[in-house]
Amino acid sequence: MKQLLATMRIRTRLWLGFGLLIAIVLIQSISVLWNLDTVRDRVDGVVNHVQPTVLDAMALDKYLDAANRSLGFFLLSQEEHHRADYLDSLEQIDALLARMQASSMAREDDTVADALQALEGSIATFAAMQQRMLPLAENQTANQPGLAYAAEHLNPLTEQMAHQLSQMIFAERSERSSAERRELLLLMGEMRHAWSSITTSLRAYLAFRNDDFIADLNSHHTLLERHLASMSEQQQLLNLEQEDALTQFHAAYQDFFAYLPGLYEIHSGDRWRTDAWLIRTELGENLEVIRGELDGLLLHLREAIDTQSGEMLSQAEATRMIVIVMMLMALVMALGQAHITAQSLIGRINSLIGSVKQVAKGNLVAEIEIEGEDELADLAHAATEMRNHLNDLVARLSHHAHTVNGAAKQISEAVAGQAATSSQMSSSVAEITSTMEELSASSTQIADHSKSVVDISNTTFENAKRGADAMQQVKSQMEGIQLDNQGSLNDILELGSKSKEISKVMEIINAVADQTKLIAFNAALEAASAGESGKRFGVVAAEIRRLADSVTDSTSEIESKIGHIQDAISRLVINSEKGANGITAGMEATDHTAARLEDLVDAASQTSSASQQISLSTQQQKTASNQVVIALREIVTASSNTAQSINRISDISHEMSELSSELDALLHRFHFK
Amino acid sequence: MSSLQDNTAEALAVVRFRIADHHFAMEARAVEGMSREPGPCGAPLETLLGLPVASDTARRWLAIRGSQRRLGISEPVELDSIAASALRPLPPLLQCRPLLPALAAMALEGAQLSLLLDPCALPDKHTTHNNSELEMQP
Repeated sequence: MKQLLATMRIRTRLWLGFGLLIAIVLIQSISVLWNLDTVRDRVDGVVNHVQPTVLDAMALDKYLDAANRSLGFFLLSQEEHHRADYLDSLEQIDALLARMQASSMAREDDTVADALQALEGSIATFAAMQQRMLPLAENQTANQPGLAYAAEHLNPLTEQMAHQLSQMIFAERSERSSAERRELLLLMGEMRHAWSSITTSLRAYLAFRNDDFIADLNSHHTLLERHLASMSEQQQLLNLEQEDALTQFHAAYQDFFAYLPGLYEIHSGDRWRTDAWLIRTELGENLEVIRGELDGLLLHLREAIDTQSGEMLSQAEATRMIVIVMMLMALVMALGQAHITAQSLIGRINSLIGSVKQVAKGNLVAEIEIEGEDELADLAHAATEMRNHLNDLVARLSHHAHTVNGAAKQISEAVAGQAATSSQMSSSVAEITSTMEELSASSTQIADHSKSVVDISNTTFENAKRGADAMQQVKSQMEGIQLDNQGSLNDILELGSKSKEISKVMEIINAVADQTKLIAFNAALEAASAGESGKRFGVVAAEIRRLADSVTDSTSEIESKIGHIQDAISRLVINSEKGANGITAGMEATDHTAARLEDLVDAASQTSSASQQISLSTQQQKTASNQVVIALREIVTASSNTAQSINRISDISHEMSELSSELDALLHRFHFK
Repeated sequence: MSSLQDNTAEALAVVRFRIADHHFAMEARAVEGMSREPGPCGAPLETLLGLPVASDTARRWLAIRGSQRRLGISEPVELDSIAASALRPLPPLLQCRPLLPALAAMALEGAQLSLLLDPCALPDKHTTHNNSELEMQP
């Protein structure tokens, strides 16, 4: 597994982990969407098929109540708007029933279709009742049998008896007034009042069906009986017309009270109103049947809704379980991928850090070994290349330092010899000058010594030319050192940039460790919420978080080490820049020395020419002795300058020697092949 | 302080954090998770408690179970447990005059006093509660 991971790029590993998580989330989303589609279909079945039928059934029940209520109000009040409401409710019932029969539930569910068919028959019976009920409201005599009985048997007798009483009173006008006749007329008035009270009580009984009115009627009947008895006692006072009317009144009176028990029986029974009787019996039973059928239909629809709801709940529970399982799988895979990635990176990074530390200590021979083909392997390869390059560079630098050191020593020796020669030349010129001054008169001796002067000046000229050539060699060597030093500086800067890239990788590892800590915290939180069952998982999550903390501490230490490396690189850069400045100063000093040596060559050339001229002009020395003395004094001055220049060259060559020794000591800090 | 591995039936799992040198805790079962982003309903807990908001530390966001709210708290945040014997109800004086909204109980562990918060009782917006007395405590 580790070898397989080592062959993969870190970016590939991270993308592979994210790809697995995204695949799990995708599978989870597809499962959830599929379940949601199923739930949506079931909700659509309930909302668009079952629920409209339920609402129509409830509306049908409401319109049945409205129709029944409107019919009752119309029978009581005979108001036309109640009749219109009743008929409108019947139309609404027919429309609702037709819509329910045309619904998808009636087509697809046989139970619903059978219930609607039964309901249609019951509602047809309910609607047919209007043909019998509405005429009863318009004809009270037909609606109430008591009124019909009274109209047939009692009302004619009532009119007849009222007419007989009026006739008896009217017949009194033909009689002569007396106290007895006034008593008789008063008695007839009492009879008429009693009879009027009897008819009033009878009407009240017919209207209100209250037995108190029968009691009133019986009391007035008793009073009228008493009046009739009094009238029989005074029958000798009646005229023929009054006597005949009394006889007819008495007969009708007997018939009237013979019919009354029949009226009482009809009007006090259950069928005293036909409409109420029909409502209690036929219409009520019909409504009970309709309500029972509606209740059965609603119960069936409720069971259908309950079935659909139960299936939807099962589907939702299955969706919840899928989401939980997928989440747990994603969590386990994320933690595993983070753990494996961190483990595979930390060991290899530590190995790489150890190798880089060896290089930082100056061991350029130590091997930087790391397996795999990922970014860390690239970093190890780059570090190996850098170490090899440093190794070659330091080796070359050491070699050149040795060469420079040797050259500097040679320059010092040459300069020392030149200084001695210069000193000798100065003394010789001084001697020549003194000799020329002393022997100005002696041209012979001058001629003899002039040859020596020419030789010495030629020698000086050659030495000066050799010194100038040596300085040119020193200058070229110094330029080589400067180029090598610049190369070293560039390599050190590249090492600094590589260490910054390591810092960026450390930032990525820190971000991964921080994310791992966050995930481990949430996992521990879930484990704590799970109670006893999540206890072991909580231990694992706590351990993962502790490992993430350890990773953070390790990366902090690595960053600190890299910071030290960068500081060392910075100091190395500063030292290299100082060395470059010293080399530049050395080159400037070398140029200056070369210029002075050129001046020395010119001076030596002039000396040689002058000596030759002296030699050639020996004959003229006598005459030009003064000029020769002046020229020799100038030569002495030039020699003095030359001696000073050579001393300065000697000092510079010593400084060069010391610098090359320091460079050699610095290079001894490195171990290289 | 006990570790999470020492959780027993007599201990309460909590999420511990600190605000202005005070130790706070919430029941772990009330916390759904922790993230680095505040989300659309995130608010610093100090704002809801009327305490000064710490701005110089890394902030974590706790998602409260059964709510869209996220509470911002400063690092370090630890999942820990409190022994049941250390839990103390609020004294009558604090119940009558609470210093903090959503303060449910206290826990005394040695010399350390932890304040237990009920996240469901936190106010929805910035509270005007005057907590100057709490700020004056060491």
